[in-house]
This record gives sequence, structure tokens and C-alpha cells, in this order.
Amino acid sequence: MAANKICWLQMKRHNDHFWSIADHLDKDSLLDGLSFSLKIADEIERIGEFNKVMDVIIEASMNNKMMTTVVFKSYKTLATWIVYCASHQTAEVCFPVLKKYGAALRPEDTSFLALQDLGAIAAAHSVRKFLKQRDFSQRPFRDSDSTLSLALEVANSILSMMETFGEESELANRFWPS
Amino acid sequence: LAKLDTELVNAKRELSTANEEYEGARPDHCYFGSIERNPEYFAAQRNKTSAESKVSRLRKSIHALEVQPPNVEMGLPKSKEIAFQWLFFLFMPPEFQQLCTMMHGSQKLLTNKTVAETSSMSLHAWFKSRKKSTSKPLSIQPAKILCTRSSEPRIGRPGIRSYVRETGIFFPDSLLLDPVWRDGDPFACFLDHDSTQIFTELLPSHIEGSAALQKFIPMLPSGTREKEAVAFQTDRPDWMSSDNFSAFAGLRAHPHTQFRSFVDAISLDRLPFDNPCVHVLIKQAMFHFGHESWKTDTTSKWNGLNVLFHELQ
Repeated sequence: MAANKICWLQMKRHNDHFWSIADHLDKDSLLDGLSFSLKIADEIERIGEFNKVMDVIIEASMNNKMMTTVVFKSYKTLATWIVYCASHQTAEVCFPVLKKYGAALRPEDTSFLALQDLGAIAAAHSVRKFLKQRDFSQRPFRDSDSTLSLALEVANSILSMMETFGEESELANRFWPS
Repeated sequence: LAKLDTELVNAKRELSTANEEYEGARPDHCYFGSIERNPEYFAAQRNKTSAESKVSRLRKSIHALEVQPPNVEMGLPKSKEIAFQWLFFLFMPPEFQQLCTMMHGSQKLLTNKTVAETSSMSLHAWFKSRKKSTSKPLSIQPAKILCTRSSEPRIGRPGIRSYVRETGIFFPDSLLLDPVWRDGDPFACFLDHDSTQIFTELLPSHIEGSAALQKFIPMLPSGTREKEAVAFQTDRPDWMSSDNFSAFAGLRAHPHTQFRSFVDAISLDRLPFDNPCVHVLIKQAMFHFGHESWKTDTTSKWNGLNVLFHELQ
């Protein structure tokens, strides 16, 4: 597929959307449903669409010497990172215990991005700031020990998990009465 | 089984008695035909045979009883702590599933290595086939699922005679929990060097010598890049002087002094600014000015653009 006008329009529309999410990171306004109603599932879907558009544009830019490919690669990466941050914040609201742990991504890795417009740079700033706030040594899903300790703490707070455990161990006791 | 055991002992005793009698009854000197005519000997022989068959019959029935019952495997570990860790991965809340998806996707964009898929035992599969309760669907398996790196356990069992009450009942507590990314671990193969390359523009291929110049574009700290330019003059394209070449090579060698090198190149006119390769080099440098404090952080005195602006004045 060639990168037609629609691709560029879509890129602009999606970028504006993601950058505005970045603007709300670490603020209550991200999830209060008033200024912004955010559903992570929808955003993940949107990321899928965006990635498709960006792949077309990246492909086209490689054959065009007037365009800088890294900028488009950076847009693609930035959008995913923004939604990651939003999803981390959502999980924190649902499971406050997550606040004790760090984020899996490192803030300094945003420096790889090659961005030229102010909107993108501001969004990258927000992402970096968000990750810096959560730059702890315990990084669940990145190292095994903190993953397991998070798993335990979260499961402890979920009633249905307790029920399942009770049910299973009761049925197990029939095999092993003690 | 215990009853049969006693019977076996008895039968063995009978057999040895019968054997002794048989041996005793056998005449010391046998003449041709005399054995057949000895009734004592015949009786002993019969006794011995029947005792033998009794022993072998008992052995068979004991063996039949010694068949071990199948193992009972439990779906969840016995320890509450470990079981809860399992449950988190089995019924992972959607918020964490989404978090994992995004985390995996984000990190994957920083590496161009294709991450190898991990083969390991699925916790889902274990639980599904062994759970005792029937309710509740399992969560879908996100990119991150909990597996144990160890393969299916081999459950050691003693012989049936040393069975105790809990023998043959297996709780998976001993399967070491080791969460792995099902779709490969992008964190494991992550290298700063690779990420730098991904976000480095390729030089236009139609320019003479651009392939050899490409290695000077990424911001990879190097103390020897400028010297490389001096040493490998054969890589220098005709549109560059040797001073141009060493300025080109050294511009991005030291991340924190890029702007200084850039100002240097401008004020001393050390680069052929009309060449597209130089455009790419400078553009790439502009993206990454002030590695730590971003270029829009104009409040910082050391901000790359501020210094550049100052110098150009």
C-alpha cells in the first residue's frame, strides 16, 4: 500500500490523540471520566491501527530522500510508550499496591527517540517524567522476584482468588484428610 | 496383602520341609528301578511339588495386589503463598494483562532482535487438567504467562510396601515458579547499542561512499572515531577533504560534547554542508543534543540549543 494522503491524516489524528493522553499522565484527569474518558482496551486497539499506518509511512519514507525515517519510527515507539504509561496508571488506580513497585521501562530509554515537533517532544517529556517517578529497583515483569511478590500481593486483595483457593484445597483434602 | 504375606511365609516353610523330606527320602544308593518302588520317596516328591505350586500361586496373587494406584495430582500448590502466586497468573486481572501487552510491545520496539519464544510448561495447562472444582473460566493467556522453566515433574514413588498416607498425592509446590514471556523476552536481549542503531537514520545510498560513512552516524560513545578517520583514508569519499572526514567521524563520538563539535565544524567550516550525508549527520545530532536534558529544556544553562545559539551569535 502506498502512503497516500489518508495515511498522513491518520497519522496526525492518532498522534494528536496519543500526545494528549501523555499530557494527562500522572494526573487524576486521565481517569476521572470528565475531561477524558480512557479505556485501555480501546487504546490498545488504536495502537494496532496506528502501527499499521506507521509501517506504511516508514516504508514510504525509506524510498524518499526528503523524509527522515527515524522520526516516524520514533512516533510509533512514543505512542506505544504513552499507552503503556496510561495502562500502568490505570492498574495503579485499581490495585494501589502497584505503587510500591517500579515501572518496567526505563526513563532514560526515551532518549533514543528522534523527535522534531514540539508536541511530540512534550509528550516524550511527560513519559520520561512519569517513568522517573517510578524508577525503582523492583521492576515487576522484568525481574522474577518482584513479579512474584507483586503477584502474591495482588492476589491477596482479590476475593475470587481466595475463593478458588479455598475450593481447591477443600476438594484436595478429600484425597488427603489431615 | 498382609494375610497373603503370612500365607507366603507359611508356604515357604512347608516347601522347605517338603524339600528336606524329599532329600531325606532319596535312597543313598539307588539301584536301577528301586526308586520307583520306594513309596516314601514318592510321597515326599508329591509334597514338594504341591508346596512349590502353592508358593508360586501366592507370589502371583501378591504381585497382582502390588499394582500401584495412579497418582493424584492437585491443581494448586498446598502452600497458600505459592498458590496465590499461581492464581494471579491463572486469573490475571485485565488491567495487568493490558499492562503486560503494552510493556512487551514497548520494549520490543527498542530491539531489532527477534526474540526467541520460550518453551516451558504452561501453568494454565497444568491447572486446567488437574483442578478439582468446575467453576470459573481461566483468564486468556496474555503475552506474559507464568510458566515454570522445569518440565513436567517426575513424581518419585517408593515401593507399595513403604506407602504412607500422603504417598502418590502430588501438590505442585515444588515446581519452581519462574515467570517467562511466552512470546520471547524483549528485556533479555535488550542492548543500548541496538536501540541507538534503530533510531539512527540511514545515509542516502546514492551518494558515493555513504556505506562506509554510516558507522559515524549513530551516537555511540567512542574515543577512537576521529583517529579511525585518519587511519582509514581509503573510506574517505572524494567529496570530502581529510579534515572534513575527521570532523565528520568525530562529530557524534562524544555524546555530551556533540554541540561543541558541531559549533566547531560550523565556525571552522570543517564540513561540506551541501552534501546530503552531512545533512543526515547534523539532523541526527540535533535530535540527540543534550542527551540527558532534552533539547527543549530551555531553562537549563547547558541545554544544547542554548549553547549553540550563544556560540553562533
